[in-house]
Amino acid sequence: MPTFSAQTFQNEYVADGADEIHAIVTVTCSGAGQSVAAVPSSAAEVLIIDASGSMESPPTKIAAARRAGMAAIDEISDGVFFAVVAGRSQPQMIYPFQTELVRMDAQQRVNAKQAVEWLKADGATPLGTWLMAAKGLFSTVVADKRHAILLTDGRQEGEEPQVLDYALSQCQGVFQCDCRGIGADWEVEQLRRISSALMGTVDIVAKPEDLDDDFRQMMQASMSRGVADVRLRVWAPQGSQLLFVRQVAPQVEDMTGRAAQVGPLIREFGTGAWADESRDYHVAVKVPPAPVGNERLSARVEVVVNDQVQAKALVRAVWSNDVAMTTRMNSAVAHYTGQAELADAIQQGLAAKAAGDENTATVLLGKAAKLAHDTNNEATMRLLKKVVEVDDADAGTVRLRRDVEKSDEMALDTRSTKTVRISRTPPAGAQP
Amino acid sequence: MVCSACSGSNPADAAFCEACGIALGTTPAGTAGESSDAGFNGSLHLGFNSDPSVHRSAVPGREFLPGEAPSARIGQATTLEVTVEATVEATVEATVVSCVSCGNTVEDDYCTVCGAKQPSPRDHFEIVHSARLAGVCDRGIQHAANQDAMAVTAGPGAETGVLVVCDGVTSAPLSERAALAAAGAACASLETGFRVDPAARTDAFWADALRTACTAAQVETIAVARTLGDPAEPPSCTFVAAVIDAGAIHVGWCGDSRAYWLPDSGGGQILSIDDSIASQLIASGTSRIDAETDPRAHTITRWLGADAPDPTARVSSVRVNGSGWVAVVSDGMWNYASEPAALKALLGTAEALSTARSMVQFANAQGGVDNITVTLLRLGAAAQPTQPNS
Repeated sequence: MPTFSAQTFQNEYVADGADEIHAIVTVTCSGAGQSVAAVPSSAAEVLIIDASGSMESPPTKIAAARRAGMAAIDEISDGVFFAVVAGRSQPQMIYPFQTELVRMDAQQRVNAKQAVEWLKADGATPLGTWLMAAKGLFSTVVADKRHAILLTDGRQEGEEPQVLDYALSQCQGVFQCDCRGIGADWEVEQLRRISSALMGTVDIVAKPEDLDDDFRQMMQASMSRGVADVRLRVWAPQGSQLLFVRQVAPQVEDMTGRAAQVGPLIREFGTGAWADESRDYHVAVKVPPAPVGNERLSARVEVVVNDQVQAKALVRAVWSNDVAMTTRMNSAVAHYTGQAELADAIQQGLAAKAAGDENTATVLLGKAAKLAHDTNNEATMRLLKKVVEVDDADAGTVRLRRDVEKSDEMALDTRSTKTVRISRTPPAGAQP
Repeated sequence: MVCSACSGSNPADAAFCEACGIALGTTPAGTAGESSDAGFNGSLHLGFNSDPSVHRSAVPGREFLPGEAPSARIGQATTLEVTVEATVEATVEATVVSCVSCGNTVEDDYCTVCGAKQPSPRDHFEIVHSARLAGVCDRGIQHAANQDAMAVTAGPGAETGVLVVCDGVTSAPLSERAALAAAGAACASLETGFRVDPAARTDAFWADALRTACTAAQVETIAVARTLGDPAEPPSCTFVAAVIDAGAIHVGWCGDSRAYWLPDSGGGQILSIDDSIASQLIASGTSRIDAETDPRAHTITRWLGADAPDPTARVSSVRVNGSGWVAVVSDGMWNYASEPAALKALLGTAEALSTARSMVQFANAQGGVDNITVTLLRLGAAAQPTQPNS
């Protein structure tokens, strides 16, 4: 039986009149792995592999997609429902041949891999239509945990743009979708929109030869997620305003718009399926201030599975005149505020650069370099250095590089939301 | 709507008084001894005492003082159990029926609608042994939690006893638990001193006993720190204890909580020397008033806790004549009446509990910036019988 815990990190002491309360809530799940092995039939997987015409240029892409598809099929546990769909002008079943999901076993595995090996590329990239096909497939079985992988090398085409929005509104909550872009002709913003709405990850696979490893890992991760549909239930007091609920680790994901009002003061946020893992959430709420010496619960964050509360964390506000206590910024809140700003600075900086506004791009990417430096986000700094020349990370002085690979910019963009976790070891020798 | 208990004004639809939390439209709690629906129908047990008859329960149906901080006024179902075991288990349990601020239901000690923290029985508690010996410990106005603690016990005679006050350091989490455990342990330790033959209870004997009691208190603070996984900023508190025995007052302290001797006639005196920056300033020639209003005044130089550099008691003894009060108080009290004459002016002639309450009430009326604790023992001529507090 999986178990959850939730813990709050905040400075609950706020100055007289202060009304904005911030906290980081860390939610940890353990024991999720066992339940997957116990009930594999509660899971379903759909692979959507772009087989549009562009995948043939160069042909290494479609070849890589075949290998990646086969690698992913190898990772699907026996008993799990699955299907493989080829993305073309019209989505086509690659395996099984009927429009349905089948249960994985040794024979199915051989047959499915054979079918993927024969995958040919032609047609357009109607992303929305492909997602609707996946949704249709998931509806053919009863499974708690539904997951898809979408691989594409291009941007949406061959359908009206609004079809994608419609598809996302229909697929939200039905299945989770990890998105991968291969090559450099797809749009980061488009795939991020899909992965964000469908609670999955997005990444670039710049080199076709890396694709099968990536697919293997994604499928392993999905198989390890033993708890379906975990929700955060957030209570905030009367007269308050929930400013945002944002996942901040392992990656930044603003969930505020995903809220479902379930009571006058209670909202729920879907977080998808969980493996044995830990995620951090930044909760910000504006509350009516109380007089100095009083305390108000500013938010109660509950982890809910099947309408049962598994864990809870309290976000408090204590109004105080003690400046020494109210001015102390909580290190977790500070760290993740910086990480969210970092993602924002990168995305806006790259957008400015694409629009030809080099001054704004230089300032924003300089700010990003400083934030990455200050928060020890080495992975992001490495990606950033492929796009800008960092003269002084501490001061945030950078110069735009002239000879940037498009795929390097796309990698920086897609991975800008990846955060580093704050170290929870208190500094040694702290005194009261 | 005007509250009949504290005269505070409230919105017309308020179910409970914003100021004191009492249910509006009901008669306020009566005088002490009268049973009350809205009152604190609790009992206080200090479990470290092996002889339950020595400790009397806190006053049932206690009255509410105008201007007092919201405290344990939380309906009939309220019970208070403060148990200080040898293993430092301080638990305060309360069953709260409805929010003191808006009347809605309560979960996790917070209102399910407005989020207001519900008062804890720990916010205000009282101990009374006799007309001579009592204590009041109160949250004050400006602190959200009461991190002060006290312990009081009677000795073999009417004019003997032990008063202990520990003031939890606000910046360290769970200091309120450490303070409660420390005060309880020190009081229990000192109480055993009265079992020794009176002839052997010299100044030196009590000086040793006070140092031992301080160590017992220190051990408790470390035990609380251990339950928290020894945090970088461990729970900490001050310590002051007074033993009154055979016309002498023996005091031990570590920190800036104080013991006073306040005779009915003549000048009073402070029997402890604060371990604080203010005290260092006074020692170097700054006037008391300037020193105690210095921004650094309340920075203490010694305390009890796992990180304390010198957690030992400094001791003093004084022989007194005539009638008067021994007062052991936290800085939340002496902030408003530091000079012995100022504190003495608050005493009056009522019995110990009423006097302690009115002193706490005075501190709250001045702003109550800190938690307030007053413990009193009367020497000489008996205090007046209880006057109902209007």
